[in-house]
Amino acid sequence: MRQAGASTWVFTIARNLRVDRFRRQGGAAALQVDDIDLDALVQDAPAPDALLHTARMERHVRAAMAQLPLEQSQVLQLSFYDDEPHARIASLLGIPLGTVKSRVRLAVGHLRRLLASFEDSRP
Amino acid sequence: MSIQHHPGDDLLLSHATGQLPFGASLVLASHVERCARCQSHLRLMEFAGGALLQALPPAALRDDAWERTLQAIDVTHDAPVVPMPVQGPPPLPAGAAWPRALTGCAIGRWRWVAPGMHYSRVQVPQDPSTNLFLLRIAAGKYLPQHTHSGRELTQVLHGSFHDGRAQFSAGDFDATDDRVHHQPVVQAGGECVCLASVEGRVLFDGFIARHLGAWMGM
Repeated sequence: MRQAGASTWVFTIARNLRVDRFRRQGGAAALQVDDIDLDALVQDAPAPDALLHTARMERHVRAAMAQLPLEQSQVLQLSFYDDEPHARIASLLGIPLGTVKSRVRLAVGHLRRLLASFEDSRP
Repeated sequence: MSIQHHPGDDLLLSHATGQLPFGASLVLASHVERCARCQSHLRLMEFAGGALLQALPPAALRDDAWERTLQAIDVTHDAPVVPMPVQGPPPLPAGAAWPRALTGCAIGRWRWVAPGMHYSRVQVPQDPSTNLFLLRIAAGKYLPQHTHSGRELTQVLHGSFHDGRAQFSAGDFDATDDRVHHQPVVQAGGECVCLASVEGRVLFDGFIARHLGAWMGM
């Protein structure tokens, strides 16, 4: 998916489908392509102006994430796309759970500061 | 009154990535829907999820993806599904409202536990094993001293309580676990209604409270 502004939308749909699937199956299975309900994509489509704002935010977030220290972006990456709960990330990286939590806090705080001005200019 | 207690970034991130157990995610969503700060933080995390999605290496679609997409478009659908309202909710104190996050859940009547104390279980159709309940406690009354074997998330829907650590008022969120040993006391001036999810058990100190807790399924 390369359409500007769509990746956050696709992310939230994929996240919600995964959560629904986990609930139906008692938390066991990974999302399969066959489970994807195309209607969900249609019904939740953001309005063009929201898509424009999202596209701008995605650009800024990408730029801000590139500035994160490696240890912080690594924790975000593991949380989002290696599907690891924080306790597993801690054992994977050989660091205490409290350190994972503080890296998440630092990473999110860092992104928030970098993006504060863009949030203020939301249409 | 402004919201003083919010979920930590680690909990919000677990919510944003869809990793929270269902009951916990409903309590968190009940907080986020009335908290502009947490809405903004959650949106930021979803932007980060979108940014990371774009950075993933491309993956090949299955061969019949295009045909399947066209078939899905061709299917005629019935009227759009209207979300079910909260089913059978018991009365709330004046000025309190049910969180939208509980839409589709069935909430039983208030059950008497002790003088000035009622509870109600929230049945979640998608996950009947979820331990989610409401507590309604009168002004000046308190929950017996307890700790928790797992994570307990609480969202104050109405009124306020103080548990020796801080005061929690309508809109506030609290996360506790086995490191917190507390006794929530409802403040004078009105009753307090809280939505809580429990993973594991609530471990009451006293003999009678322990049996009451077991009877309530806590």
